Amino acid sequence: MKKNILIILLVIIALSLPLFTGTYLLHIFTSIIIFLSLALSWDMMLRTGQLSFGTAGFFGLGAYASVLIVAKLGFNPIMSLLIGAIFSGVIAFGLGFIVLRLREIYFAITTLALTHVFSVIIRNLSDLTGGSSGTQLSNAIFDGDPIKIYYLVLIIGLLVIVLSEVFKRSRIHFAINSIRNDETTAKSSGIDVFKYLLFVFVITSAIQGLVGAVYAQQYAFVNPESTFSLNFLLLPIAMALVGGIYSTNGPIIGALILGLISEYLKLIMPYGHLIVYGVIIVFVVLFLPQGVYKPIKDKFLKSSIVGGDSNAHTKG
Amino acid sequence: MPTLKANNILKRFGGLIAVNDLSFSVEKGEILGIIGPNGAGKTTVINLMAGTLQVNKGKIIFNDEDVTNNPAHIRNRKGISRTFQIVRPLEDFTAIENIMVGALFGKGDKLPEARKKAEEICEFLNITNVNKHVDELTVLELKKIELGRALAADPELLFLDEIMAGLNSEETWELIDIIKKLQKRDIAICLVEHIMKVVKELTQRVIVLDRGQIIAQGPYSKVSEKQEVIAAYLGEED
Repeated sequence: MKKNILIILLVIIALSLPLFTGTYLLHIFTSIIIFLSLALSWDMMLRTGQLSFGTAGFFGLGAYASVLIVAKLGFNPIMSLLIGAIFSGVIAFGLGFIVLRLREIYFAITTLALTHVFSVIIRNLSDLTGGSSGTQLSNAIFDGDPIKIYYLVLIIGLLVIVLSEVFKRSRIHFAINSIRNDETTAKSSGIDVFKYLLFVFVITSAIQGLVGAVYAQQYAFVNPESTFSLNFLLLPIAMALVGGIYSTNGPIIGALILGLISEYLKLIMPYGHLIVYGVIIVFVVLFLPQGVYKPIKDKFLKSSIVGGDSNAHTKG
Repeated sequence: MPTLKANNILKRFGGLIAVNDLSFSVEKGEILGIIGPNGAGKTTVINLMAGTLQVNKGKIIFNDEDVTNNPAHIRNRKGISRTFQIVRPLEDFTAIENIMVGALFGKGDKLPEARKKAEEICEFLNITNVNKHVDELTVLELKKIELGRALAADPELLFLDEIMAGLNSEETWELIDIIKKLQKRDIAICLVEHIMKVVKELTQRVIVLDRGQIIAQGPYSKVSEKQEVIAAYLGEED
């Protein structure tokens, strides 16, 4: 009960945020929700035991698909978000047949390489993509109205959160957790390992494409350098690690903590903030390897944690 | 009609022939013992039958259907379950969740059905710590979970790979009783075992493997007296 009230309260705060914040704070929260969605999608793939470094790649593909379809074919920007998601999902589906035969560090390094391959291809298709100078749209989505953009991003963030919870509470949870723990046992217990890996890879890549699309539409701009930036890989991973992996709440809390801290640090020390930011991540990983969420949960929320969430158990 | 028929199975690991021209069958309600010295290929046979490994040659017929080319998860759904010699629990799950996995995917149950099924199995196997995590369980409990997950798929054919290893005498008898009850449910069971008292107590028939080939078969009491079986276990005198 206590937990439900907390969730409703948080959703109300999120929905009413534009009423009592200025454009600057709203912009920060928009960007936090974008990174939060990436962090969750990365974590959802990690729950299968596969460490993906392809987050920035599929983010970039979605961004490009969305911007190009508006620029070249005059699509509605909202529609183009869907196209971005589908495009990334379809590419992930095709590549999945190859990369999902790999495991562990080989999968990780291949997905990282894919990110680079995507950006090289896009850089070289200059007739279509504008090459290394990128493509600019005449207008940002909703004419750049920060409140509308905030709500759009919030809807996407909530969608990803709901999806992550569906993953945790359905048979998908049992399948991917089994695959992570012991693939041989999973296979002998009737689990189609490849099918589940492919499914999760496609869904999480589509999320990353969707988030990339909305990010690009917000700035009305893509170029290989900034769109495929490793920030869209490293920040989400840091957020998930700081908050706590294999859960929905962990990446959310991690994104809020790191998102707010980094903005604050930027204000007080414009030049050294990344050092402090890095030190915080190192300390959390060293002293709270399960992330900050689980210790908090164990201490304060024990009585109210019921059902599906007990599955969020992780090993340290 | 036998539940399982293996015809002329061959398995190579590089230059080593692990299983050579092996044929055997198991009937409904029968317990077949697979015995032999270390390295004879017993576990490999289970791996081949359950689909954990694929054969190089030969045919595997399950309930009159050729399953030779089916991967492990398909064979499990069709009714072939197994346990592992060294238990392979799913460590992020509780005892009951481990068993639910078998019902969810091997049998295709929905979540509530799978939970109910797992509860029944826990009762049948006398698992009391259903909500404990794997790292808090005893060896016997881990073995039971392994067996429970296999049973949750409602198998017609069950492979038990040295399920008694590491148990004390009392625990061994508890499992023997459980396996006898399974036999009454008309499940065909193949038992790989090193403890001969278990083989004697449970099996109707044994096949003796040595270097991937059957060197003797028949009831345990007959087979155990054969010269070539003793030689395979103890080595031959000059």
